[in-house]
Amino acid sequence: MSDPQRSNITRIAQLLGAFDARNTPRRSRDLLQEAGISQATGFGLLRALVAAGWLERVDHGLFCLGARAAGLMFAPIEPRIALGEQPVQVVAVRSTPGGEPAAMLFRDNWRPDLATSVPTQQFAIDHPARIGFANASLSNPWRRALLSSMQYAVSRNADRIEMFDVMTADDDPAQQIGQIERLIQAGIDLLIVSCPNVNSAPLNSRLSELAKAGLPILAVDRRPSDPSCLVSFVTSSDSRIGRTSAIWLVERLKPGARVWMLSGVEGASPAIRRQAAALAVLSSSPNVMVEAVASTDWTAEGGYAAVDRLLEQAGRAPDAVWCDSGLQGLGSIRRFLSQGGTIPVHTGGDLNGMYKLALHHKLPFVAVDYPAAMGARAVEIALDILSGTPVPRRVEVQAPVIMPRGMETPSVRADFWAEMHVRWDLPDDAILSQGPSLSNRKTQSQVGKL
Amino acid sequence: MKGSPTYERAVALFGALVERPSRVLCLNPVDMLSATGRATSTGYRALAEAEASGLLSRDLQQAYGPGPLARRIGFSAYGAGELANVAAPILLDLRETVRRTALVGFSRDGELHVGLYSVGRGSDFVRVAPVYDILGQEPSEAGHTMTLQEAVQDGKDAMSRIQFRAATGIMGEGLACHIGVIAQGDWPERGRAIVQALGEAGERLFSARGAI
Repeated sequence: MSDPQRSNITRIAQLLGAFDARNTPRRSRDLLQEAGISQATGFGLLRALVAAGWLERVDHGLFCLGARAAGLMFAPIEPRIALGEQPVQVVAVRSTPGGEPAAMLFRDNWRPDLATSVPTQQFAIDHPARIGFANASLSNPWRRALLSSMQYAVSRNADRIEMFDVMTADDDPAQQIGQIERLIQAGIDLLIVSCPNVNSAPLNSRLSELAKAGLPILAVDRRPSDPSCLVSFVTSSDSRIGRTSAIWLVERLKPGARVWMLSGVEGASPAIRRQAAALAVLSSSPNVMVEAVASTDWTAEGGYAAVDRLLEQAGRAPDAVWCDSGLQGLGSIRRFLSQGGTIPVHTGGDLNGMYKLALHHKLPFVAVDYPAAMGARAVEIALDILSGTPVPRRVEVQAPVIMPRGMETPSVRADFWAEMHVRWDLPDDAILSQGPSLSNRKTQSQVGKL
Repeated sequence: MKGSPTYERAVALFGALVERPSRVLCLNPVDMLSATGRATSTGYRALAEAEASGLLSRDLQQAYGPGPLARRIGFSAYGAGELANVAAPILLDLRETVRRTALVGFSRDGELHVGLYSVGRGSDFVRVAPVYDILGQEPSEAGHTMTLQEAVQDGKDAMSRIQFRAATGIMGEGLACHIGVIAQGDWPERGRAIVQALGEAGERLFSARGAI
């Protein structure tokens, strides 16, 4: 029988989505039965869909997707860039003399898992989903924005999700193992995990056991060391963040420049990969010298303290500070401001306060925002898994390159100008890459009290 | 046989919602609903359902775009639904490597129908149309080089010609799948790098589909 709560939009989505990848013709009766649509409603919709070109009749009682449905594949991957005003080239991008731009020399290794589909029929359920999220921590604004993004997706899919239970481990793997056990006892259908430390053997081992027992596990942001226990991993390209920001520094700085590197949480997989990618670029450039590397816990306080310590040791400011995020970049800039003088060139975005401060002081910087919107994408992938839809082995949410006008280099061009990206109307701790949930700052402040 | 106005209205609303964000930048629900004539609770509910079902999605900048289900329906209509999930990362890698607008498309009967695409930045920005007439095509190292012109619709002026360099896979019944990059004018530099990048992108895309 037809579900009276669903509108015809959902019914049409179910009918058009019921065709396989090869557009094999299907019988009307099977289509309606699978979608749970009554015959009276279903035949009315099928007739209207054929008349509008969304479906075609191929034989008596058989339908396939029509020409108008084919048009749905026309889609910009980045709508705002493709459909917005044509960008103005503020600074002509120079060619590098005698060779390819650095971006061509330091290409990211292609990850085949991005184009690998994982079958998920064995995880399909026929009731609203019970999802558990074992979260590494809520220790900084980015992590709170990640959760806010997930909650946005949960609210959008309220009719498909019975339970979304969140437990936060305060960056302690042992605590997370206990929380995962409690989530399993609560009867979850799928576990989303964000691991405190990639190298925790007990946590890796427990996740492998659970996967072998048939629990679908999806990692978001921080994965375990052995990805074979995961159905999918939702992330962004950490190596792209590290590499792009380091290339920008190399092309921006004068020969002999001294660089300090401020990384995130020691042992966290994104921090390790960003730092490794940046070091690969910086260490192969004769122009720059990496003078110090420090961890900051991805907090402004950590960034401030690290720069304070390094200034005391070195006795003078560097030419540039590479930060893998603005979470600590904000503290770094504040420390340099406190002593006066020229502020070094910086990298690192994410945080609204970082953009505000850097723009206010006209500081040269580049940012590659690590998208907290991956939280919503993880919930969508979880629902795909539980509906038996194949999912990619690895999902990378795009990380846009952002810089003030006039700061482009031969290899690194802006996706967006910082002047357009910053939100002067929002507080400093707003994470700009969290997608639609950014509109709901009330939710975010509540999340912070969990 | 005449259909019911109720269902015709529902299908019209569906079409207006799912087709709009591919053609017009929509940054909020009002932008989306302005074309539907349904800036009412019905329109907002339909919009929320379209987002929840995967017909629409919103990106980091909150712009609406076709969602994963819409993309899969589109590619499946060409018999290549497997590409819907995998094409985006391959295109982004190609666009970043070659630094030109990159797209996936299908050709048949002298027309190229564009699927997913990623536009180049700065001076490499090229606006992309859904359908092009293929004015000429010749084999090249990576696959084909085509001269394209936007298909003229509704009497609007013809657009300037563009060049499309692509790796090509034959799908049968006169249908071919292409992944490549477009540019207005010549290909001034990085010719070898472009050929290599196109070859890699084609291999990744077509191996994902297997049968091509």
